Amino acid sequence: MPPVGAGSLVTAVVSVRSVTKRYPGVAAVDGVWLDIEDGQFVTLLGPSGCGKTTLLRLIAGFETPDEGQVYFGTNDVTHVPPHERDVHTVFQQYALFPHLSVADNVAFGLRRGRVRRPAGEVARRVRESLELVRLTGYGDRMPAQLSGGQQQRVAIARAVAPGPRILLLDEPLGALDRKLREAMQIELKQLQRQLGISFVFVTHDQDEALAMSDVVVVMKEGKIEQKGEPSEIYEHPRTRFIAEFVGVTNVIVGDVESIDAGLASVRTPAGIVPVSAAANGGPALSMGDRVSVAVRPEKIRFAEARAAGAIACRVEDARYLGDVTHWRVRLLDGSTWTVFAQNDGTPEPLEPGAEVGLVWESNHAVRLES
Amino acid sequence: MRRGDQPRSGGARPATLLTPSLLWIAVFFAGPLLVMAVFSLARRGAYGTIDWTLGLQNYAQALDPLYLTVYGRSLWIALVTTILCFAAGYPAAYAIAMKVPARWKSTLLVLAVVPFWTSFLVRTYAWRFMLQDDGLVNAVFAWCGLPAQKLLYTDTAVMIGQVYAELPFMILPLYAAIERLDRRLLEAASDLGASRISRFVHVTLPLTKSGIVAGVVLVFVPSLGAFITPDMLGGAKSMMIGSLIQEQFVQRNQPFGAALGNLLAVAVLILLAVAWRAGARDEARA
Repeated sequence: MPPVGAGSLVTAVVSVRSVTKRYPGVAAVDGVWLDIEDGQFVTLLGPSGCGKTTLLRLIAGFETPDEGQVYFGTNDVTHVPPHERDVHTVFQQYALFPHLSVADNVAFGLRRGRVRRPAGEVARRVRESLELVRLTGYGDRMPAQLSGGQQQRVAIARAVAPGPRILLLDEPLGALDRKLREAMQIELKQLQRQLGISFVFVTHDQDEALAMSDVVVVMKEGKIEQKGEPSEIYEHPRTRFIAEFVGVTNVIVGDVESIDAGLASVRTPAGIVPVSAAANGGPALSMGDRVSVAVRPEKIRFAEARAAGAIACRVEDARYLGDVTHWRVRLLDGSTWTVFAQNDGTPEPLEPGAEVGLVWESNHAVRLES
Repeated sequence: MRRGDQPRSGGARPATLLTPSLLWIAVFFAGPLLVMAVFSLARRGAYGTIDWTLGLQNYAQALDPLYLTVYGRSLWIALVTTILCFAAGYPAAYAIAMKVPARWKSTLLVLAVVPFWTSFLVRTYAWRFMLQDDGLVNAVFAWCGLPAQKLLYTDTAVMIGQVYAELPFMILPLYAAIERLDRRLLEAASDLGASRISRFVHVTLPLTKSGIVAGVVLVFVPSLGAFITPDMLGGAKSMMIGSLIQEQFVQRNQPFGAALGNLLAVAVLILLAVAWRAGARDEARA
């Protein structure tokens, strides 16, 4: 029944159950199950067109599923229009009302929403919300007079002012420059902890997803590929797609030659690679199985070319980035791998063309589902 | 060409390009205005001549209570025309901009201006046939079992004719403004809990204000000075400023006609100034 994505229904504030949304010729969201727990920071991660924004819009109510249901707690909200849902959205391009001042923008949900609030409460909440995003004193400005980062903060203040249980964020940091984006990542995470509500954050930026989330949901072609904590997604990607989309990875394919004490030796064109034989989401390995093995570039160490258990390769070139050097090496089978070497003082006396060996801990070699 | 120079086409200077139109405006727009200003200060002489003793008596005469009812009716009819055009035009413009599939948009916009392909006089005659006592409208009324209505030569007939004539001038600017409206702002309003009505009042209307101001001006100003429609559908009982002015020139009282024309022009200028200020504030905020 509920596959990847589903959790316990009891504590879920949002529960997406077997939802499908079709557009002409394509299922944007295809049979997705997803439970979002109270107070969680959940990130929907994937390349453009993977259905992450459609999933967010299904939760917001801008789209109605063709199949399946959306629950808020125990309420079926599948056919409830957006203005009657207790969620608010921070839009990609902020979507601030250009004819309203910052304060009036923030007050919009308080004044026009379903709950009628006295003027005093509106003023107090506007003040608190602007304080929360550190824009105290900006209430009288017009959106056009603000910088991109400030507009972003107003959009967040506007969405949190009515006190939603869930905040949806649709690639909110995409339009900001790198420095500002990193600062906002930290702020958003702090804000989420402070408010104690669930955030559902859509992004195609894996760094953003890893840095901010309690749970990362990786999507591909309308389906959830994997759901897990950032470290789980990074260290134990289920498929080659995830391994390559989240971070940089090296993949090699081979056949299981022997199994000894839980360790499988995989014969690849480039040499013997040891992998844990235990199940990694899939069945345990047995002799003769064809497997894909992924190794992260920073898990690899250089060794002597003919050291025991080392994979031989030839150095192609190096990209010196200061804190780290990215090495490109060519394996015997002709495939190109990447190795990250931390600049920790140990010299890496390698020249292009040098023959070296690559070694890693066997538990860092991850089996991928094919 | 040096770097930094404005690219020029054919080497013509701006002054050269503007001269023909400036001359045109000077001769056919500023010139007549001047003539009107001078005429309005003269008096009517015997046997259709003009007595060039200058004074403000025509403007004093224009304030005669006899004429105030004409101004009042003109304002009233122009106001109702504008309101009806807005009430009919906004939903139409909204539907074309927001609801209709893209491939139908241009067709519908063309349909809105199709009446312009026929002479305005011919179309107004057509309305006479529709509105007269044994006309099409009363035929339909009779078929429905309703009593016949006196329509032609009433204020109602003038309003019907005016709304018909001016509606495209309301729809087109409204369409342009609604088409420009950022759909995401509507989603944002819904997302924040605004009902459809609240969203319309607090987001859609304010953000299409420039189109509303343009449409109102384009409908109200011609309606106020309209002459053909009130003359042909309203007759003598339903006289408006336009007909009154025309009558002065027919009756060889050009000085008084000129004064009335100038007053109308000033009223329109004041209205435009107000509208421009409203629109300008809108632009500054956007």
